Amino acid sequence: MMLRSAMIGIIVGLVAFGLIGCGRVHHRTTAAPGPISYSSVLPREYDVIQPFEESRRQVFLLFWLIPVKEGNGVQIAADQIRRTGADGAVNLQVNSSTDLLDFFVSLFTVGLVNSWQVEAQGDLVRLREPAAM
Amino acid sequence: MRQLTPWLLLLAMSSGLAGCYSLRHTTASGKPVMADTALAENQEITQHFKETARSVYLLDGLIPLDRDDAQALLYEYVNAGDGIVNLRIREQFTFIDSLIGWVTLGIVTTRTVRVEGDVFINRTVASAAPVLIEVDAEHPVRISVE
Repeated sequence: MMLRSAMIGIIVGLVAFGLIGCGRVHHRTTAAPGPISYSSVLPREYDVIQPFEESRRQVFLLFWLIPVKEGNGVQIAADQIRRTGADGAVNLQVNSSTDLLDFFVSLFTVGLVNSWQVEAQGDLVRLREPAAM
Repeated sequence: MRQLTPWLLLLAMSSGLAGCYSLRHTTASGKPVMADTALAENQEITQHFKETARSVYLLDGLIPLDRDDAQALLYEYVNAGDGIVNLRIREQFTFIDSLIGWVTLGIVTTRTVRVEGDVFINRTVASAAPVLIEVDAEHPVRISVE
């Protein structure tokens, strides 16, 4: 009986162990509405309109296997550009973290629900018109 | 059910090994480090790169030991040209990361960071041979640009 229980435990552990390697966040966007730079330099001159800061929680199901709610730093910047009508973003900083809430959600759901938080901040810019000759 | 309880707890703890870690991606470069493809006409991609590193934490992510963020990985490539385009940063909790967390019972946890992108350079326009223009008061010269 004890051996059977141990076997079940080992199988459950191995399945969890194998699946846990699926948690990932990919900071990219397929259709950026404008230039997005991690540095303060763009190929064109610009004026900073306003800073932005936004965080999103990325949620996974079944031991990080199925991403339910996506949120990556570049996508946050792209959404900010679209929302505000800016031309681009500079000084992008992306911070990924897990906190106690993520830990307890994972603990209480026995790993069925996992999450981490992605925070992006930077400056939205308006591009200057090229100087006329 | 009672026999399964410790295993369920272990399972929960293993998925909880995601812990309380934090990883910040930033660059302090004086060159463009772009997440998109924004090449100007005079810019040319010279190199594609892909780098992977592992950030190490102690006590379930509470104490960062060796935090390899995007800036550390990009240093060489930012200096290899005039900037970077198509930058993609991927953070992942891989099989090896979970193995390390399991073996050390969460005392040591790791995260894998991969950066991928293209280095570009600004092409300089080849200058024509110097033109010598002699001007004197009797024969004024008019130069116009069309």
